[in-house]
Amino acid sequence: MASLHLLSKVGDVRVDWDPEAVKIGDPEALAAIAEAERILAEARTTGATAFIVKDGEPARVMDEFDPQANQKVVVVPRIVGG
Amino acid sequence: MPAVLIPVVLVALVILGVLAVVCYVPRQQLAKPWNKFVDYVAAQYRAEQTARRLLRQTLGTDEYKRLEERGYLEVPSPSMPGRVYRIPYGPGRVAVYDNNRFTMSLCVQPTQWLPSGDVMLMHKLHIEANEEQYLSTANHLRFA
Repeated sequence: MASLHLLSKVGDVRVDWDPEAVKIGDPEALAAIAEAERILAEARTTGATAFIVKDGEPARVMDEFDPQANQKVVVVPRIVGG
Repeated sequence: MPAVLIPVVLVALVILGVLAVVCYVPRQQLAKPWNKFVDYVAAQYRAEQTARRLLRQTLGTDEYKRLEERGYLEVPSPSMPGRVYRIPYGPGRVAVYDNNRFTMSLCVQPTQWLPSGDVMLMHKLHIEANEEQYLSTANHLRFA
């Protein structure tokens, strides 16, 4: 199961989907993908960064969103010096 | 009137004032700000719980246990051997250790309020994947 987590004041906004279901065009999975893409696009307009997180591996910045990849994406709001 | 009675009179006046407000202001209007406050606190609590759950999932059981014991998370620098970033749980600066020696602290924050668990995850992800930009964004505090 793949997921997208947007860090926010409510903890995190989460969207889950099955990449296998996306491959066969399952409407529910496609709707989840559309929602994830919308959240990602909206966050990126405010300077957020998306990271791909895998167990036991260091995180890496996500350049392109791949709905068919079984991965966890964490979207972090823009950071500034304190 | 003896001076010693002045505080007593003042307290009595405050109590009378509160009673007057309670008697004359409709109950619903009094309950509104209180409910608002309770909702705010409950929402913050829920946000902290949710953030902690995501942090635990991301770190894994062992690392999360270490975090609970120590109160901070150590992230090794991906580009500088011997450098470790120590991220506190909750508010505070990220401490930088080079070869086990404290060298500076970094002040970085998100542009919007986030629960403590999410702030910690924010630091960890940026250090692991985006260290150069993280360092250029941070305010560096060095101690001679």
